[in-house]
Parts: sequence; structure tokens; C-alpha cells
Amino acid sequence: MDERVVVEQVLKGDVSAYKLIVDGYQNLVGHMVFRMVSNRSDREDLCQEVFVKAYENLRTFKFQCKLSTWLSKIAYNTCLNFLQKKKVPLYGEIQEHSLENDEKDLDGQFSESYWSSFSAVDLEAMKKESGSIVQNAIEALPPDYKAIVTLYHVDELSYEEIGEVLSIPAGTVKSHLFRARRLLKIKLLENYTAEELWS
Amino acid sequence: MELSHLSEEMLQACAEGEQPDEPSAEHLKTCAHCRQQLEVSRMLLRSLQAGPDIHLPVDFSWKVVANIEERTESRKAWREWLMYGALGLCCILITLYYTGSNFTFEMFSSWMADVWRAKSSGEWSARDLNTLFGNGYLYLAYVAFLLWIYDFLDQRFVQKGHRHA
Repeated sequence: MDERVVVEQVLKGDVSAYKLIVDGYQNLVGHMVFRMVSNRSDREDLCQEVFVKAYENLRTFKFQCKLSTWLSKIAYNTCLNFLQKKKVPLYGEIQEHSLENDEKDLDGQFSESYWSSFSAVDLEAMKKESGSIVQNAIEALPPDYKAIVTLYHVDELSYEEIGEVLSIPAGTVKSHLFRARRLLKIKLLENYTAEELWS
Repeated sequence: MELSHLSEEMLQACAEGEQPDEPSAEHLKTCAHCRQQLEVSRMLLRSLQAGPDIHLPVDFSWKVVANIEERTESRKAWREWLMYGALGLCCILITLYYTGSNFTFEMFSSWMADVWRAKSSGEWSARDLNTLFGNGYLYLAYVAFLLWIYDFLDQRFVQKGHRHA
């Protein structure tokens, strides 16, 4: 679909044309909302709220950025407001370890013999199953990290685009992404043995 | 020279597909710990790309459109009430004017000055209210009437034109 044409149609009063935008971007908005908000019953309402807000502010969208970036920004801010109202800590009671401790935490979880005991096929199957463990670990990340991780890995936005969504410099996005992944790795290796993680 | 374990930054970069520099590549060949760390990083990246499971109803987009239409209707109704209210106010004030005192430019200036002073101080005394609703009703009538005309033209021509364009 040509976004510009659809947006113009919607602005002329054709509300049903807006359905095309919702269909095209409901996954993008869903990723953000479902990742940032844990409460299942609120998620669908929030997705609706994002699209209604976007519709009401569509006149202000001048194609200076991608529609996906603009929608992500609305989704992020809507989730943030929701979490603030619910008094969910945004930056986390999850204390980040110092780099020194990180290295220690990441040390020596698996032995050489452990790795050599699996064939390449076994390892591939194990990798697939470890997905749900990782998804649970992501749930425990601070909301801002969840947003960055989702926008980068799932929606494949660039650092600059994510920076625009979160209103922070691209460099900060990069360092937050690094910290989020490091934190995830630490949490995984802290809470799971090699067998649990890869089985 | 023996290289210490690869940094987390290097491991993440390698997991994303960047080629390690020569000493790091050599180190990876011989260090099981770093290979294991790299494997965990790769597994992590693959899992991150999977994204959360989204459970939205199949008719989600229709629901959004219905929600928007409902809100638009509700606003339209409210706007109509406002329009009729403004028109009613105009009628009342104009009637009051023609049955009350004659107005002069001095009255207008004095009324504006009083309203401005009250607005600036944020205190509305009984005299100010008397000024506003006494001598000033004519100007309120003008403002309300202009608003009504504007809204009428907007509804009748501008928005109708958009709807049918």
C-alpha cells in the first residue's frame, strides 16, 4: 500500500481507509505493547488506544519520518504513561552488575567436554527450545530495555529510528541495547543451568 | 602473548556477524569458555528476534475503526449542542441589549479594560462580573454569534467537502 495515499484518504474523512493502516501496523504496535505491558487484560485496550491516538493526530504527521517510527513512538509513549499510572518502575529495581561482576558471573558455566558431547543437530534443536526461557527473561527487564530490544531485534529499526522513538541519542540506544543483552545473559546464566537453558 | 577472555562487547559484535580481529579469532579457536559465551550470545540474539506472542482478535482493525467512528459521532453530537447553545446565548444577549441601555465605544473600551484587569489579576470581583454580564453582554453576543457562524460554515462547507472529496 502507498502510505501517503492512504493517509491522505483518511485525512479526507475516509475512516475505513484507516483499517489498512491498522492491518499493516498492528504487529508493530502489538510487539511494543505486549512486550512492555505484562497485564494481559490491558494489552488489547492499549493497542486500540495507540491507533485511536494516531488517528486523532494524523494531521500532525508530515512524513518527516517513517509511519512505523511515528506509530512506534505513540505506542511507546502510551505504554510509558500506562506504566507510570500503574506505578511500575521504569528503569528498574533490577540492579545492573558492575562490569567486573558481569565477567565473573559469565565465567565458567560450561566445560569444554559439555559442548563436545552434543552433535550439531542436537545443538540446533536445543537452541529452538531455549526461546521460551529467553522470552521469560525478557519479561523481567526494565520497560525501556524491553522497548529497545523489541524495536531493534523484532521490528528491525535502526539506532537512529529507535532514538527518535524514545527521544534519546542513537549512541545511547546502542549502549542501552548492549546493557540489555548483557543483563539478559547474566540473568539467564544465573538462573539456569546449561541443561535447562539448552533443553 | 596470551589474550584474556573476549569482552562482552566483542562477543555481542561477533554474535551479530562481525568478524573478530585476528588475535580474538585465534583466541576463540583455543578457548572453550569464550566459544561457549559466543554460543550463548548467538542463542540470545536468535530468541530476541522471535518477538512476543501477540494475541489480538482477528477483527481488531474493525474494532479500531468502530471505536473511532463512535468517538467521532459522540463529538459531533456534543458540537451540535454547543452550536445550538451558542445560538441561544446570542438570541438572549441580543434581546437583552435591545431592551437595555444603548451602547457606546467608551462602554466597549471600559468593559475590555475591566475584563483584562480581572483576567490579569485572576480575581473576579462582583463588579467585574457585573461589568461582564452588564455592559459587556453585547460583545459576548458578538463573539458567540461569530463562533456560531464559523462553526456553521465549517460544518456546512469545509468538513462536508472533505467527507465527499
